[in-house]
Amino acid sequence: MKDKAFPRAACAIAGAATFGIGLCEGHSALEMTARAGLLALQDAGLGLADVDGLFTCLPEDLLGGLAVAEYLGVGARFVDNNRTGGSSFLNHLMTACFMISAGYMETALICYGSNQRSAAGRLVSALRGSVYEAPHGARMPIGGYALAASRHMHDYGTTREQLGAVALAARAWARLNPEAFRREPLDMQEYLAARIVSSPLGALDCCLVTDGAAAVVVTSRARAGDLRKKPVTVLGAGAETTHKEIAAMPDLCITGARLSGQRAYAAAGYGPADMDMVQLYDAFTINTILFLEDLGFCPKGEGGRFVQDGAIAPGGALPVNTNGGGLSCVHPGMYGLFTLVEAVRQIRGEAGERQLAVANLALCHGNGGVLSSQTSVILGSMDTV
Amino acid sequence: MAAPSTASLGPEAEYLQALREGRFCFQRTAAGRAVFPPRLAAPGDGAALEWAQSSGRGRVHAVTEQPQKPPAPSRIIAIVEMEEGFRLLSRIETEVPVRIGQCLRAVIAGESDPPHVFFVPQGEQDEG
Repeated sequence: MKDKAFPRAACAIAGAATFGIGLCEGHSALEMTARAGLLALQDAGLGLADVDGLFTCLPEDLLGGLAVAEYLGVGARFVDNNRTGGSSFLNHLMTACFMISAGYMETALICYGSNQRSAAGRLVSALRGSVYEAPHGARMPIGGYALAASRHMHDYGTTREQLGAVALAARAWARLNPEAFRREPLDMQEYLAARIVSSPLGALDCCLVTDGAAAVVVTSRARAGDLRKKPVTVLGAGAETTHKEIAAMPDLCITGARLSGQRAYAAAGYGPADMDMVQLYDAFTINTILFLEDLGFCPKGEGGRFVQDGAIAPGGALPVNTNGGGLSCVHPGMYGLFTLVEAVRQIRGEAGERQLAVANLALCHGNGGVLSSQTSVILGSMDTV
Repeated sequence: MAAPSTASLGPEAEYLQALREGRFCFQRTAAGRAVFPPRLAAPGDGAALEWAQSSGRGRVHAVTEQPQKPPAPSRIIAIVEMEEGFRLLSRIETEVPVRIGQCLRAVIAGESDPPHVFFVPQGEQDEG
């Protein structure tokens, strides 16, 4: 079956890094991307000469893959500039695993950086409205997520307070992470009082606008075993794309995460109950609720009730976004790669005050567009192979 | 006959031209499946498509209100489900709160660039 074609545990993440989270004035997006790449290679104990394949996309340079290849002097064997929004980097990892396991390359560098906060002061989005959507002047991408949230509330009785529980959990995790951008306390009263941007979503339902860069180094599991850090193996991955613009989403309450997750679980041989953590792309609070449902952590429609009493916050039954997520740690425009870095840090036991007691299996989930592109990746410690 | 007048154009240009001529069109397969936005072939199965004219009657499937800088009124953005079975993103021009399930009527803004369709609650006067 196609879902099981993924090369389970053939590859591992050998290096991971972040750079410039928050404000990184005086650096271009390209420089931030390159710095994160160099740091991830250093973390792995590898050099630029070891890199066979480069996987990247930059916020505003459509041919950014070529820019990074030139800047670092890597990637001659293969450059992947695939951009599906914030899920891009999980797609990159999926492709890299297939290519490494097939023997075309041995080591891949996946990297990304954006200086949107210091350079633009607003979300830099690659979304462009079609001739059908653009004339209405809708604020996007938030409008797309708000429409899905309106429908989830209508169909399942999801409340603002339940969306707020997602924001509060993210902030509680961020308070344990010295790298996080927003670390001051947040309570429900403050959440509910925040200005509405696109009802039912308010300012505190939205991901941050920060600078930030991240990178991971992927290689064969055999090679990773000889390197500096404990390998984090890639057990499974799967993707699904359902639409580009929100009006074409087949069902506003069911995302492609249902299929991407099933594919990743099938490849890995693990299910939701086995996961020690979930690192997912929380562009808006509704994302967390939709993805927890679609990835099998609670029944459809129950996401709001699942999160409302702190189940995903520190000390809860299911740790979600232990770095503080896009809502409270970092959001440079395309967050997906940060889900992988955080899972690697947890599985290696490098997460400091926020370290989970048991951290062997992580589900990382990327989202692109307006709930359009979904990619799930399951990472594990060597004990999980 | 709802068919747009200029068969040499791509489906997008045909759709826009029909709006300029005052008709809000969508496409249908022989099996009756409605398709929007206009395409060369039905998505997924490639079935042939024919133009049809919409009644303009639809309902709010999902809605969000986006406040603007005062004194501009909030923008009401909705996904509208048309009675023919297709959906589109549009705006609703109204002073009163909008709810999911509410009946709407399409207004063709044929002179706008690009031409488009917006909605008013059913029963209200034309505003366009």
